[in-house]
Amino acid sequence: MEINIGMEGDVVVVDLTGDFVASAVEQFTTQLAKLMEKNFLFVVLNLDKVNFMDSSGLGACMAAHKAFQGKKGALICAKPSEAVAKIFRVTRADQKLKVSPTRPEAVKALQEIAAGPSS
Amino acid sequence: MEQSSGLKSMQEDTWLSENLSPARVITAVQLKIALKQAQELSLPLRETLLRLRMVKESGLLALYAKHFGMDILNIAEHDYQMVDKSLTRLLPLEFCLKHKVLPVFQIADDESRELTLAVTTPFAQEIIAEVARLTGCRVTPVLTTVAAIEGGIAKLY
Repeated sequence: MEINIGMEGDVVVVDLTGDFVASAVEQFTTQLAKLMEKNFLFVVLNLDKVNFMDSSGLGACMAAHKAFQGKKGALICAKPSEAVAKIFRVTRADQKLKVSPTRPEAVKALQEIAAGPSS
Repeated sequence: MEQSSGLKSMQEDTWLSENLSPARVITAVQLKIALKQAQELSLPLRETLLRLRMVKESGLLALYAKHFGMDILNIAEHDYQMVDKSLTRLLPLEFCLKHKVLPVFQIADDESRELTLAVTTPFAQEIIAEVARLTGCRVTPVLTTVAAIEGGIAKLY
């Protein structure tokens, strides 16, 4: 799986391409841990180009979501492909993860969260 | 639980005999032939329809998915890679073989434990309830083919 990391304002966008399976989990976890170390706590996980996800990939998404939440940050899964959306649905992960239909919406939502409540 | 497989089959047979013809999957004449054959061979109607090649299993699952609002999941994709192999500890081999079920995913947090269970029919409510009892999980069933479940059990157990 290919991982590309970019910034949109204060929000980090992690684009994943390929199959999100057991062999890709370590690389994914390492990259996200580095972001967390550098205090980048608002992350969009763009799943548009993930064609296949297994239980390890799903577990990694859930763990990342929990880790960023624990650091008072947030992770939003954006634009999951049809295959990934089905996995999220049948596992009910979509009730635990934040999922956005588009990448811009996910970025906007995180920018609002990062800015905090308006006075 | 001994009775649940028989009950499941009876419920499925009744549903199929009432719905396949109106849904124009088979004709009333085909249904009559299949029912007669099922009785003669003491086979469930589903199996008889498949043996007679009046329906394809994929077509039957699509009909179930639409009618019962369930998802179909090809668990055999990528040589069963999507299936969480550690979940074999949750259900005994005999149970999976007998009821044609296979645990596929589990997610758990402080609030709940969710288990995705591959089944071959929507008429498995009693079995799903038993899996929920055995595992302590909330169970979401997904439809898949008998061959996919049998292949998965052979590969993973």
